[in-house]
Amino acid sequence: NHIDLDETINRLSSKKGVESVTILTKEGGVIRTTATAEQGELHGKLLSKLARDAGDIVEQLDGQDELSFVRIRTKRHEVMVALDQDYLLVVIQTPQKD
Amino acid sequence: EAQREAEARRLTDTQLGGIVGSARFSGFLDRASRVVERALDTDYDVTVDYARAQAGDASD
Repeated sequence: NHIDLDETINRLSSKKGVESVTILTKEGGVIRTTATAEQGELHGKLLSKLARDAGDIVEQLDGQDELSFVRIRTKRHEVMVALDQDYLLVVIQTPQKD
Repeated sequence: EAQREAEARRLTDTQLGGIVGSARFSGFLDRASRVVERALDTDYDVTVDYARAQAGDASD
């Protein structure tokens, strides 16, 4: 399973423009990150909060619904978060011009 | 306070091992990585590339 985890992280990391891959618990604990420990912790703190807030919004709009993916587009980056009730997969990308 | 919160989020090696070794986590990793991978592979910048969004990628 450790091998699967490392393979998955390597595969995602090798995609074009990917800056970091981080896997978190829903509380923001860092399971694995390709960023520095400090950055990983920051991602954990901020993105677990984002996931909670976004999840609350989804639930309030439709009590039967559930958040599964969040994508934030900024001028310089794209942040993608795939999540379920327990874990978050965070990929930070710098979009490349073709 | 912030320091204490950071400590609370920090996982012990035992916790980490338990998570990574669980079927629950493997299932998550499999699903989540496929979603992200697809998003990365079909990436185009919707904020500038309107023409391409119209021309192709209507597969959904």
